[in-house]
Order: sequence, then C-alpha cells, then structure tokens
Amino acid sequence: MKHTTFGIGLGLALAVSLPSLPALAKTIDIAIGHQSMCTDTYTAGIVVKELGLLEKNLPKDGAYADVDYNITWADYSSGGPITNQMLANKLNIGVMGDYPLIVNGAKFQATDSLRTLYIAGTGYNLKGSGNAVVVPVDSDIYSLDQLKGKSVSTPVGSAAWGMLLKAMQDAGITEEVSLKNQSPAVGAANIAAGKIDAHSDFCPWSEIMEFRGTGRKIYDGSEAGVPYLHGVVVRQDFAEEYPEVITAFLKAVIEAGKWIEENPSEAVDLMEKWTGVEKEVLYIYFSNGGHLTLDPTIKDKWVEALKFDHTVLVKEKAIPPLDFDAWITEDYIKAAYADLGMDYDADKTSVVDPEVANAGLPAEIWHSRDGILKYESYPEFLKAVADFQGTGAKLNATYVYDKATGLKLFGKTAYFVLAEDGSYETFLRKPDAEAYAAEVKGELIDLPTAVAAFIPTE
Amino acid sequence: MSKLGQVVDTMEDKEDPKEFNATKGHEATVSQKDDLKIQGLSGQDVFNAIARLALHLGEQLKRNASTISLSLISLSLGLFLWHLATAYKLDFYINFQNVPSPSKVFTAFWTHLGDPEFYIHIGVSMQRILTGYITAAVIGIAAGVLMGRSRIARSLIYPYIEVLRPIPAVAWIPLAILMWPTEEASIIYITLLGALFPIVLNTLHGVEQTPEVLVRAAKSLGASRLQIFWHVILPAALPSIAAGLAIGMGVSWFSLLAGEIISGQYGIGYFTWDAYSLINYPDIVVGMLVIGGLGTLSTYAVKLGMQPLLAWQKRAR
Repeated sequence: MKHTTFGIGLGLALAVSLPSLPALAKTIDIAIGHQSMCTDTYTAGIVVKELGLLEKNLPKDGAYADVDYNITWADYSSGGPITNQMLANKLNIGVMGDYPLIVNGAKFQATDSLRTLYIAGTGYNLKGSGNAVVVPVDSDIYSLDQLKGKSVSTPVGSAAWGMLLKAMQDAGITEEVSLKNQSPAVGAANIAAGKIDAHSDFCPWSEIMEFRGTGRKIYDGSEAGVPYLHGVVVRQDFAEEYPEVITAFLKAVIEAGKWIEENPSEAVDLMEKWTGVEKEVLYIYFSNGGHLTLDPTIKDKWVEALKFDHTVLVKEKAIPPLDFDAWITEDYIKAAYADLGMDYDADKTSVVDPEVANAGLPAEIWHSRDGILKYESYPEFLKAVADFQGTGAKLNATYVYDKATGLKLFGKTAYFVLAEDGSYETFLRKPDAEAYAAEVKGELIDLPTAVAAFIPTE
Repeated sequence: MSKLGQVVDTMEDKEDPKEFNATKGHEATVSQKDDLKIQGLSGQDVFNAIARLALHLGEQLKRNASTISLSLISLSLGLFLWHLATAYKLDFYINFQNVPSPSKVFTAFWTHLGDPEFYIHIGVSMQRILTGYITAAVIGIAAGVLMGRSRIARSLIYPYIEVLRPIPAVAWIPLAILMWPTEEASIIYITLLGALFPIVLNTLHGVEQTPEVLVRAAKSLGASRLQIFWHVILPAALPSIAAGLAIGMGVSWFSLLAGEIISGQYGIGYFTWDAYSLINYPDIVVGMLVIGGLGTLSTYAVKLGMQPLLAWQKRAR
C-alpha cells in the first residue's frame, strides 16, 4: 500500500526529527451514516457501532500514536440524506444500497472537486432478493400482471424502485401502473391500512410486513434477476488523508460479518435490541440459507450490475454520468484483507447462488424456549409443529425454502403443495405452487392445513 | 395568540401604509370607540367597496410605486448576493460550495415550465390547499366565534386547540394514513391542520376584543342576539379574523409538504421531496421558491378578498 508506507514514513520522520517535542494531540473526526432499517448495511453500520469494532481496529501507533478519535454514527432511513450530509462534509463514510450508491458517486462527480470512492460491499443477494413487491394481506392480487390499472408505491431512487421498474418492464405493464413515491414507513402503513394496491420495498420491509401479518409478497426481487447489493462509500479527501482509518473501518466490516456468520441466532437477538426489527425477520436475512450473503469484496459482476443501475437512473431521473473506474477502488478492502491475513481473491471469485446453496437445507422452527430446531424433511417439520401446538408451546417463527428460487420463507406465508406420493414442497408465489401442484397432481394448501394432517386424532 | 396578530400587524406596517389602518383596526375600535358608528354589513356596502377598490387599485399602484420598486431592488440584491456567494463558492461559516447558483435554478425552472407534469404538480397542490384551507376557515371561524361568545364552549374546545396546536404536521402522517379513507383526504387533513389554528385563535381574539359597551348599546336598542352578532361582533372581529386567515394561508403551504409525503405522485411539496431523495439541488430550490411564490400570491389574494369586508373601518374614522 502506497498510502500505508507513506503514513509510516511520515510517522518515522516525525519520530526522528521531533523526538524532544511534546506530543501534539490531534483529533480525527470519523462520522458514519448508516441505516438501521436496512439489514444489508448492518455489517458496516449497527454491528460495527454496537460491538465497538471500529475502535478496536483504528491505528494507534506511528503517525496515529497521539491521535484522538471522535467517532459519530448517524442513522438514516434512506441513502439520499446520507449523500446530502457527505456533500456537506458532515459525514465521511456512508453505507447504502445500489441505486443510492450510484446517485452518491454521480452527484459527487458532478461537483468541481469533491469525489467519493466506492471502497467495499457489505452484502448481496445474487438474484436480487431483499427487494420485493408486497400487497395488503387480504388483497386478491397474486402476481405482477394483476397490477395493471392499479397504483403501486415505492421509495423512488431506492434499489426497490429500480427493481420495480425492471419488473414492470419485463411484464410489459409499465404504462398501465400508476407509480407513487412513498418512503418505507409510509408505504408499510399504507399496506397495513389497505390504502395502496401494492408497495415495493427493500430489505427488511417486505418481511416485516409479512411477519406482522399486514402484507403478502407477490413478487420477489430475484425474479428481476439483477443482483442486489449494498456498499460503502467514503469521501476521497478523507480516504487520502487517513487511509489507515479506512482500512481499519473495513477490517471492522469483515469482523462484523464473521461475528454474524458464527452465531446467527445470538446475533439477530442482539440486532433486534439495537434496531427494533424483529429477530425472526432478521433471521431470514442473516442465517445460513438467508437472503443476505455477507461479503465485502467488489466483484466484476457487481460493477456490471451497478452500471446497469446507472443506465436506469440516467434514463428515468437524468442522473449525471459516473466514471466507474475513478469511483471504484479495491485498494482499501485488499489492504484490510491483507492485514487480517485473509485471501481476497478467493472471496472475490466465490459467489453464492441461493438456488444451489440452499437446496436440501433443513426446515427450521424457532421455539421460544428451545431456540432454533432443524428438520431434514417436511413431514418431520410439520409433525413437530403439530406436536408443539398440542403442548401449547409458543413458536416464534417457522422457516422453509422456496422450491423455485431456494429463498428462505416464513412457514406461515409459504404455499405448501402436497403431492400424490405424500411428499411436500413449499413455494413463495402462488402461481409457482399451482404449476407444481398441476405437475405432480398435488394439492395446494397453507401451513395450518398441512399441519392439521399431523395432529393426532384421538 | 394576540402575538400572532401583532406579528402580522407589524409586518404589514412596513409593506403598505394603507393596510396599516385596516389591520390596526381592532386597536382603533378600543381607542376610538366613542366616535365609532355601529355599522353592519349589507350587500350595498360590499358592492360599493368593490367598486371603490377597483377604482383605487391603479391609483394605489401609482402611489406605492416607490415601495414596490424598493422591494424589487431588495429582491434583486438578494438574488445578486446569492449569485456572488455561489460563483465565488463562499465558505465562511455558511458554506455555499455546493449550493446551486441562481442561473442553474432558473435553468431547471425553465425546463420544468415546458413540462406539462410540472403544472399538474402545481394544480394538484393548489387544489389541496384550497380544499383544506376553506374547510379550515369554516371550522376555524365557527369554533373561534363559539369560544369567544360562550364560556362553556370555550372550556370544552380550547384545551384541544392548545394540545393539538404544537404537534408538527409530519408527526400526523402515520395516523392520517390510518384514519382517513383516501390518501387525498389524509393530505388535505394535514394541510387543514396547518391553517386551522391561526384562524381559530385569531377569530377568538377578535371576538374577545369586541367592546362590551357596544354590545350593551345594541342590546338596549332592542337588538336580538343574532343581530348583535351580525352587526356588532362580527364586524369588530373581522380585522383579527382577516389576519388569522392570512397567516393560516401561509401555514397551510407550510404543512403541505408534510402532507404530500404521504402519497408521492403529484404536488409541489412532493416534487421538492422527490428532488431531495435524488439529491437534485436545483430542483429542490425550484420547489422551495414555487411554494414560497404561491404562498405569497395566495396570502395576497386572501388579503385582497378581505379588503371589501373591512371597508367599514375606514369610514368609521
């Protein structure tokens, strides 16, 4: 690292030339904008903040021997305000989703001298899950085509908005849908009150609505097929002045990811306390087989996805051009990997596809007392649910996997298909379930019906 | 609440010497009550006033030429300073480095003027303001008069006014969505709330200011309660009500943006908010200035509309 050697050199020079001078205490302000209502940013946001991982990794020797750090965290509900604060130089580091990242990079490049750098990812879903279109739970809409002539709201400029545009284009209904701009909280309230036909939102809002029983997913971002990712941007002037601080931040991001992977159920428990998002919802993201693959590397495929996102923004919202080569840099994340003795290229080339990775994963029951229990087959799973119901035990949530995409689902929102041979499969979307039921001459049922067959009759 | 009235009084003092008399009226009623003739409002009065107003409008413009030109000079100076601050990227405690220049904002504005959707934004907002404002005016004046004339009504209604008044419009968003049947109704409700409180409080203030001696005089002449209300109390309260209506109009634009967050598709408040989510600074300023401009125009329209009803004051002098 050029910057590292320069920093150490500077430190040495100071140490040699000014040995007798008293240490000059210097304060470095590190201000980070994160989003506690966007799960994919947690490894560069709330987890780093609450576990004190940044403090742990910040350099304390060489040029930084006498430095005091003043770390501030600011919580936002979307990426736009973070970019605004970064432009005003009130935040140095920002964490946000793909579309807001593009706006961030492009808006900075449109200024005379200010720039940001895209330095790392936080997590991704290869197929684009995390974004979803949700309808009120009592709605009679089950697929995207049925949205013709209806109004759909979404936070304009967010990843969910980009996904919705592509989904409507793919379905050829763009002209017939009236699109409204609603922030996540407003959209969720409108869904709960049944005031809007559908709402498209980012993680974890659609699962929150499902879990609370107000909304039902009709379209998952995975169907649009564009990867959904989040990343970290930093002001270039800050990164160039204190490269070691940025590397330290990314080491904290990597450690936060490891901490979650090692013990997801304990992690979601704590994250619920920090963010107020139910742990059962967070588990669908952060568990093995969850929506989110934690991985800070910058993959070529991500750059392609971001370039695609940029073309959408240019077309729809006249966003200025973005020089991706100047914006994206792997220097800092590579330095962080090297410092931790990890192999960057190995992580960079590995990509997790939920359809492959989640095949054959066990169904899960979150027992309020006994924790998470795993079941290799659906009959075992359903029998266990029936038994627990018989004993009056409280189940926090149940999890199954969509046969079509491999995505983790809440058992209570999944469509179960009971085939002729007595085997079960589960689905996210009703049309998929109906198609499969026709294929295997099966029966389409919901969780309570499936469980009822396992309740002892005597 | 009397402070509110006074603020408008002092603001108008500077703007227009003619308005001075009009809105100082309620104080005049107190000090000059002996000279004051009891005047009711009749159709003839209103007609005369309108005719007089039209006649004098041109004259007034001529008379106020210096005031108007002074205001124009002040505005262009502000524009020029803004231009300088952005051109030289002023960064002296306040930072203008990334603030869009007037020319950029004007270019954005000009582009939007050629876009039919921009007029939809404005039209939709005007409609919301109008509906919310008129409803607020009706409810506000009725509640204010009621509270002013009845101790019981006052004890019953006033606590609500005081408790609800400090709640900011944005805080109402979740409940407004839940309570009202349609999005449009929720937005109008939030706009209405903004206008309601200044109107209620100023009406109450005006009614309370009615000199009791005039009421007694009318009573001794055999006037019924309704007659007293129509010929004595309402005219005496009108200057204050007019001030409340003018302030209410300004505040309803103020809360419009909060309301339009509920359903972002059309509306100038939404336009501004949308520009913020995409960090489009010139459009944000366009939205701000359009709200400011429309707010000014509509407040002026309210004042102009109230003038004929206040004509009695000038004659009373």
